[in-house]
This record gives sequence, structure tokens and C-alpha cells, in this order.
Amino acid sequence: MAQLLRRKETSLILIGLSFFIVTGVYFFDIPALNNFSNNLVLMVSVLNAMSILLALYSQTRRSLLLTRQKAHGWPYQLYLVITIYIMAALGFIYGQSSQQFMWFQYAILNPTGSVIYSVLAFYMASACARAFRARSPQAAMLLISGIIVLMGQAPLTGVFAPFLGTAGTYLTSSFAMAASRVFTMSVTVGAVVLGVRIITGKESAAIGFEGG
Amino acid sequence: MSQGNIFKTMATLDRRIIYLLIFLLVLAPTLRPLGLPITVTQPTVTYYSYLQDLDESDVVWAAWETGFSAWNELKAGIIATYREVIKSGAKMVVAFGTTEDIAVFRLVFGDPDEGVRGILTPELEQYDYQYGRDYVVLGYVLPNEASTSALAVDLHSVVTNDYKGRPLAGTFYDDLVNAGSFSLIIDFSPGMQTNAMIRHWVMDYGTPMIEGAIGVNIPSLAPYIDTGHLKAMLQSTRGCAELEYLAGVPGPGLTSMDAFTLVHYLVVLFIIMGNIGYFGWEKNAKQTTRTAVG
Repeated sequence: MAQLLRRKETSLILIGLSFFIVTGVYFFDIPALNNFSNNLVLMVSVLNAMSILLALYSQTRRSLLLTRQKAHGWPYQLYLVITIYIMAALGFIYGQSSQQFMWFQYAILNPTGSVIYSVLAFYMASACARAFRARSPQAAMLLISGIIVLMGQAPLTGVFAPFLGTAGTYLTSSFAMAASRVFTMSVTVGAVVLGVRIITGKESAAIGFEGG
Repeated sequence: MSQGNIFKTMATLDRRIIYLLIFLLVLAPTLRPLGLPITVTQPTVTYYSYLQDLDESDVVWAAWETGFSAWNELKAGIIATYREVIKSGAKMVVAFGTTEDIAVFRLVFGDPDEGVRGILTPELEQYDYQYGRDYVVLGYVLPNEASTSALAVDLHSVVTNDYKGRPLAGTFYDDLVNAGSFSLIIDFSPGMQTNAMIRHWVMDYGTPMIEGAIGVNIPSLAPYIDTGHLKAMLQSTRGCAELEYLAGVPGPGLTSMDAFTLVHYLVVLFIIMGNIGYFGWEKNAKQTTRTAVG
């Protein structure tokens, strides 16, 4: 039995069946199929949520290893592991809406999350100043477009130069949107192709089997 | 200083100067607001009109997905939006997209059970907007696309208790079936389950959805406005400030607009200076280091 479950063909059959069941409800109104499909999707959701245990194990193992080796930044690794477990313990003991758990959210997660996010502004401004050069006609066009959009984004610009806002909107709603659409469609088509290749057994690595 | 040196300085501006100037331009107007005028853009007007159309017969699916990182960019819009929802009397089902959102929600709505007051507690009291009767909180139920899809199909097969483990039976949640039971979806997100909600809630059930988007997500979500899947989009801090202006309740968004404006102009100035330096010195020095755009 174990041998059977480990076989690549078994995985492919299960994946194929899951695909047809979940997709089938969009085409056929069969109550039993609907219920089974809903349960299947729910199971995936629960399994996904449980993957956090794997992440916890991996992070703990990695951080403790780096701490033992006194690698660069090891105190941060230790701090990370300690806070993860204290927070988890508080959540389990007092509940996720308790004052104790909330204190960790507001005292540690809020400031660190905010800092990481806001520091990006400095890097982006520095990158703009140091890297954006009109080295070619294409780069010059990109720069001019960028400056127009940036100027249009600034709220004050609409007061003294409303045409810059209009020009910025035109650039983002035409050229930028076209590029965004191409990207979205490419990703979607790529995902469909990947799905078909997995179901037909041509991308075995994606389901944990060596050799493509 | 020779002309070459000026160009060289412009081309190789010390990043510490850039950081310092940005820091000062954010700090100064925050401490002492200049009150620079702003203009209100059409996307925000459209967004506001959807909030104004809400009334007591409506039920809103409120997806809180910002976590703390995007909260700072969108908080003005979140506060202004839910103030309007409370005023309208529409019922609201709250769902979280990250584990941090329970704390973010508590900042805004407080926790009436524990006597914790939030930013909107005065409005909750003023309009007698009560937990259980007017809004319920499902908790962290949007961890991935599978759960988002499952909720769209059948709410009760996925969630029967609220975020504190109390049964939802006996509340207005009993009357809700699936994504089609809602009059409006309001999502504030850095992109967690936004696309999944568009796919499974909007496309399958036709429920109107409005979005509060962080700056980097605006281009990727803009096509959904064009296709009608998103009815309106509040665009980053600026959109949030505009919403505060329209709602007539100034808050953190309008306060930040002075810094927002000045930093935008500073970045443009840096780009122009860098290019003057490039043509005056760097190009002649035949530096061959490639950059992000050339």
C-alpha cells in the first residue's frame, strides 16, 4: 500500500481527479459533486494553514544553527526564535485577543513592520537619484514619463499645473495598463500551461518527484 | 569649486544627504503642517459614492488584509471608510487576511467586551453600532485562495463561530449564504487575497467590490477597474487623504499630504540633478557602470 501511495502515477491520478472535480462544478450542477468540491477546497485551505508548523520547524532549526555557529547577526536570530515562541505561548495560553498577546502585536510587530515598510522610501529615493540616467532615448522617455507621473501624483501639482495630473493619468491608464495586462495574461497562460504539464506528468519536480 | 566638480557632486550625490533631506521633509511638515492645497481625483470620488450609497438594508464584506506594514499607508482610508459604513447603518462581516489584522482591527474598533476603545469608538457609540447586531468578526479566515473560494460558495460550511469562538447563530450572519449575499465588498490590502476575491466573489457572484490599494499595487489592479470587476479604487495615502477631505473629517491622511507633496518634488529634483551631473561629468568621464534604466 505504502509503495502504491509513493508512486508518481498515484499522485498524478489524485491531482487529475481533484482538478476535474473542482473544475467540474463550474460546468455541471450536481449537488454531490458540489459538496465534495467544497470539502476538497476546504481541506486544502486547512492543510495550507497547517504548513505554518513546517515553517516554524524550519525557522527554529535554521536560527538555532546560526546562533550556535555565532554567525553574523546571530543575536537577531535568537531574538526571532524567542519572540516567536513567547508569542505563540501567549496566544495559546491567554487567547489571540488577550491583552498579553496584543501587547506583543503593538510593541513588536507594529513598529518592526512599519519600519521595514517605511525604510523603502529612503532606498527608492536614493535609487531614483543615483540610477535613473538618460543614457539612451528609451531611458530618456522612461525618465520623462516617470517625472510626469511623479509630479501628477503630488497633490499640490493639481492646483498649479493640472495638465500634469491629466498627462500622468493618461500614461498610467494607457501604456502602464497595457504592460500590466500583458504581464497578467502571460502569468495566467503560464499557470494554465504549468497546470496541464503537471497533470500530464511532464513537470514531476513540482509534485516532489525527481527528473522532471 | 570648478564646474566639473559641481557636476560630479550632482552625479554622485551622497546617499546620506538624500536620506537626511527626506527625513527632514517628512518630519518638519508633520510637526508643523503647512496646509498645502490638494485636489480630489475622480477615482476617490467614485469610491466615496459607493460608500454614500450604503444604507441599513446593505451587508458589507469587510476584508482587512493590511497587516501593520500596509496599515500605515492606508490607515486614513480605512478609518474614513468604516466611519462611513457605521454612519450608513449597513451591516458588516469582518474577515482578516493576515494574523496581524486582529490587532489592526482592534486599533480602529476597539474591543467592547474588554472595554478597549478604538479610533472609531465615538462613532460606534454615536450611531449605536453594536457587535452581533450590526457587525460580526469572523477572524483570520482568508489565509489563502482556497479558503477565500470556499467562503464564497458557502459561508456556513467554513465559519460558524466568531473570532473569539462564540457562535454566530442568532445574528444576521444566519441570513447570509454565500458571496452573493453581500451588497458590497470592501478590501484594504497589499495584495493578499484581493485577486482571489475578484476571481471567486466578484466574477462568480457579481458582488460589487471596492479596493484600498497600496501604491505599488495600483498599476496591477487598474485593469480590473477598466473591466468593471473593481468598481472603485482608493489609491494609496493620497486617495485616503482625498477620502478624508470628501468625508469632511480630516485625519492622518490629510496631515501627511504636505510631506507627501514635498518628498515627491524632492525625488523629481534628485532625478533632474542626477541627470545634469550625468551629462556634465559622468558621461564625459566615460563611466561604463550600467544602471537600472540604461
